[in-house]
Amino acid sequence: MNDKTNLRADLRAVAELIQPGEKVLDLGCGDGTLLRYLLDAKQITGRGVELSEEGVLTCVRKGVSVRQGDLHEGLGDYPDDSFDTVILSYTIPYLNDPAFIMKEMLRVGRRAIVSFPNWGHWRCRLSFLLTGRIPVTPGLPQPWDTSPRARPLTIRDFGEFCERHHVRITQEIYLQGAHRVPVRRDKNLRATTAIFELV
Amino acid sequence: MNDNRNYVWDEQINARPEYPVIERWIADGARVIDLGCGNGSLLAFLKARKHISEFGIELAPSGVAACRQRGLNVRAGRIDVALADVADAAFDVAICNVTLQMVMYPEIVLKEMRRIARQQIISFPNFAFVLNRLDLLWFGRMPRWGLFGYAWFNTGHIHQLAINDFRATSGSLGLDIRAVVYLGKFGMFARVLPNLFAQTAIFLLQSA
Amino acid sequence: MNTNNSVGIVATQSFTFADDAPMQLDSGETLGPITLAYETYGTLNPDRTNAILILHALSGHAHCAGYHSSDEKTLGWWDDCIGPGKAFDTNKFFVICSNVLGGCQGSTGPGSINPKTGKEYGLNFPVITVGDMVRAQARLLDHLGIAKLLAIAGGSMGGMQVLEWCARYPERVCAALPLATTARHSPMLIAFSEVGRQAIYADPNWNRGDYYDGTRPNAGLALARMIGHITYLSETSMHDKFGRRLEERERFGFDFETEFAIESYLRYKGERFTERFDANSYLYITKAMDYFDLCNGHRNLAAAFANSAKIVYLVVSFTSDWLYPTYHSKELVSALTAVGADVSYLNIKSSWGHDAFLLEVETMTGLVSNFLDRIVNEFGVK
Repeated sequence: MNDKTNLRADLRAVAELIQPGEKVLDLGCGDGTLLRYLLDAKQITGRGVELSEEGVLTCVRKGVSVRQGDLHEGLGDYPDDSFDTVILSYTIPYLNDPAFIMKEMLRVGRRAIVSFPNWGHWRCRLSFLLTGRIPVTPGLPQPWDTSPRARPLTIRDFGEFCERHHVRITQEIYLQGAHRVPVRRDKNLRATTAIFELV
Repeated sequence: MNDNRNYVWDEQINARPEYPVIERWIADGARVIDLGCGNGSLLAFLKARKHISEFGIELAPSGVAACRQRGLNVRAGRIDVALADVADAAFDVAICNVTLQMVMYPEIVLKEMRRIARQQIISFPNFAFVLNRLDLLWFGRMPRWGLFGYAWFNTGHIHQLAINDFRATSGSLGLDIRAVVYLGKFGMFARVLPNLFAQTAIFLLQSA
Repeated sequence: MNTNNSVGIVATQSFTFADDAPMQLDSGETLGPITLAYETYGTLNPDRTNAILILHALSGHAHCAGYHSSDEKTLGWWDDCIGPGKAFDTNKFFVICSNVLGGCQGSTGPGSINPKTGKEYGLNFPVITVGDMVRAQARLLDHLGIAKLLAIAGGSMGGMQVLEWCARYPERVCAALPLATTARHSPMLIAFSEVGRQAIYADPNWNRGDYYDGTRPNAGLALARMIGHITYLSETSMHDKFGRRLEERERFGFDFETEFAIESYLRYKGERFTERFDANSYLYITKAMDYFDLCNGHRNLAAAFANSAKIVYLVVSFTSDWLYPTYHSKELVSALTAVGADVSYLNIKSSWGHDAFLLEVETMTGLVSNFLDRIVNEFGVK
């Protein structure tokens, strides 16, 4: 029922990094789309954490194991190395303390996968230059006072962040829409989405 | 860890460039509320010079403690919620100084300021500042001007608020702009193209 | 009587055991024979894998769905959630609910006849625990030929029994739904139990529990129930439901008649309760709740769940429940997470206070039925 082609491109790229049978924790799992796909396609053992009641109800409807909670409170309950992979998909801009969450992810899991929309994309830079406004997601302008709280970041920002917090990047994948962008110097200009595997 | 998601008010910031501007707009003996009053330096400044009758609300316990030390009338709490203890039009002026970009619900702050005071003074760093734009354009990293040394991952500035955006929002809330002062290194140009050249904007508003 | 989506007219049955060998209780005493009143709805499948045990709260009973007669008033206490197409769908599941040990609605309790004396037990009834209630329920399931339950569910004290089941009989449970409950009765909960009991003790008709031949301590029991009802509501729900409204009066009477709507509601609830509940049962059941502490004898709460980590959990709390507040459920979730259990958790936004677990029907129906669908899939129920 979960046709691979229906999966959003960035989720598909994350899913490709998961081995069959892994134990996976998805932080900020939203409506459970990624976990449901991984349960069906990769026979993983999956757990999700989600803040919104609506998200939790949808996850349960999809048969996904999900815990309502704030990532800043609840991660401490998970024992060290209790997951193969901890995923943070499109959630990092909404975190209050990304450095703390990153540290917890690598404690709880053997590795972490982080994906986010890249505000360093050329269209986003141009839009900011000309209008003085940062799109809420690159390509989607929204007024500042109704937007959800977000810390926009770029691929370059994230690289510097990992260096500063001694997190090693073991894989990097860049997408422009649904297409892969080669890992070159201009990735920060061309990619709309970045996916990192970290240890 | 001290970052501005959780200010520790041990450093005594006793003056900021906005203070003299704000002072000009306050009448002697006015009733003034400062939302997000920090260590109380602004309220103390206005009390000394304008003999205001002051009230402040501050989230950080260290800020509240510092205010009490100064003998200021403040309470602890969030400012982006309904201020149940403050009556309608209880103040002449409500101030929110370089804080609006940090709260979760800025529109609630503005609506409450409209309700509790006749006039509103609001200042914030202008995210659309030209060097911010060039930062992202040229370096491909999130701008740091106006973040006071913080970066995207530890700043408390969760809204990328610019002058044009603020004008539109305050207008839609029925707040008229009575005066505005722009600060920054390109002050001359800021008067012509504020959204591009102002680093900080200070607005005096009044309910229409 | 609305028979749509209803299990229709049902009858309470009873099962008696421990007539030869009395049952050992946690207190060290023994009790027998023991009768449990129970009801079942739906059909047990040939594999005997679709049974769900529903556990009731302090004042509940075995009759949780359908009607006892054509009278509307005989509707089961959780009919909103149990029936064809409902959260606990009786088209799919075989649902069982029994009155707890110590109760007064068909099961053996202090109001039952002590076979040794031919008189009601009264205070000679041994003090029982939530563990004893669960042990008796296990005997009922043996009798019904159910080795393993697909799910167990209950709110409040029902939730305590759910947790006790998980701790005592982990191999007999696939999925557990503790709702609006706690892993241990807090001092505040004990305090509320105690004022309820004191209200009964203070009624001269209580007569140290020996009142079955005379007048019952209805005033004391009604007061205990009124106190209880306050704790089941929230300030918001009282505002919404009653406000400061006066009942049958335009203005203050400057006397001590029932005036405010909330007063009249509490008095009505208290009086009605005395028609169906035995004061001594109230004492015994609240005592059992006070003794409830899953941690007892364990290093910490997680250790208490060490053997029950294979059960799939759905923990639910309600935002305005101040009696069994959200952080009690979060503590449960933390402990279950720490032992690696599969636990889903939701804090449902509601203004109804503790009663929300009975009243938030729409959210509960979606949540519970979807969760059970998954359990059916994972445990291969045909």
